[in-house]
Amino acid sequence: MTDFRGPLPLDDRDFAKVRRQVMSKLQRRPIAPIVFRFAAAAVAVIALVVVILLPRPEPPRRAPVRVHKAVPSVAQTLLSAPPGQARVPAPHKQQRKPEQLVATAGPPPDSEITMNIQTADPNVRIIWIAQR
Amino acid sequence: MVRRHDAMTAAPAMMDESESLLASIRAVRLGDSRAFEMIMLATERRIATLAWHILGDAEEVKEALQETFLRVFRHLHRYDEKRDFFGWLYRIAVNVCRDLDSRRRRRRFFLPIEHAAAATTREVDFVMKDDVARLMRAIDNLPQKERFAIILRDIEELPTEEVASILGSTPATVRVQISSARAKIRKWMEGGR
Repeated sequence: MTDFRGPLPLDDRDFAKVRRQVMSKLQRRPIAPIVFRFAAAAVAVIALVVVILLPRPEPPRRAPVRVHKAVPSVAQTLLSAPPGQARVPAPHKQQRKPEQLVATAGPPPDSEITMNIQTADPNVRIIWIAQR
Repeated sequence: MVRRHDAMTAAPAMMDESESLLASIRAVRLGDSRAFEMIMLATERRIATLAWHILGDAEEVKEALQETFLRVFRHLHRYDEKRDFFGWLYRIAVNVCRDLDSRRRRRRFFLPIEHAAAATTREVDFVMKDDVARLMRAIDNLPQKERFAIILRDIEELPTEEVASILGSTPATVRVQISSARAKIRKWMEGGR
């Protein structure tokens, strides 16, 4: 059973060739890791220098916060009106809570007006967006 | 029957050989890569024979031999001198052969279907020539673990404990694998497959 594949098909020349190949690879081997180590170290140092010396971008400054005055409520408007004037409530205006009127850096939220006009044709609606 | 493995430590000539081998190992560890050539000279035929039994292809045997020696050189600092060098060497060689064998099987799996059919026909023709070829075919068709176990135990004639150590298994598992492999080979030889 030990010879089930027949004799070893390699001769002395084959063995010598394998030995030569192994030795040549072993002699080449130590150079490569040293080169790679130096390269890796150089890359790490360069990366560190770049990280340290490069000016960091300053965080964007926020615009000063503008606080809008709260819009007087309908009740306040009616009470403050002169006695002779008809106490007709002002056209309905969407009531806003005072905290909603506190603007951030952007434009005030009510700078646009949107009007929805329903025409006679139920399939046609006009949406009008205008700047205040 | 004197096993090759035991004979190495028994005969005085072999003792000299193992002592010179140990001296070469120590020299390589101290940085003398030329001494590695002596290690290769002392072990190459044994490794090549093992690889031949496992792989059965001359080109793959050369590849296995080269890769085994490269791995041996790379890991020689890990070798424990109290242990049998050939056992350690065989373990590396078996791992290399296992990698090559798996690669070959993957390659065969992805072979275009017409090539695979042609190869199978050629192999079958060859197998039918005689009993040795049939035996070879039977061993080659065993599952990898069983194949390695039976090659190391019955063909390389290593003790079961050594086979278990090389394969990273237990002696009981190796006995089961060998028993199963023998049964399959017997069935194959009787023309059951």
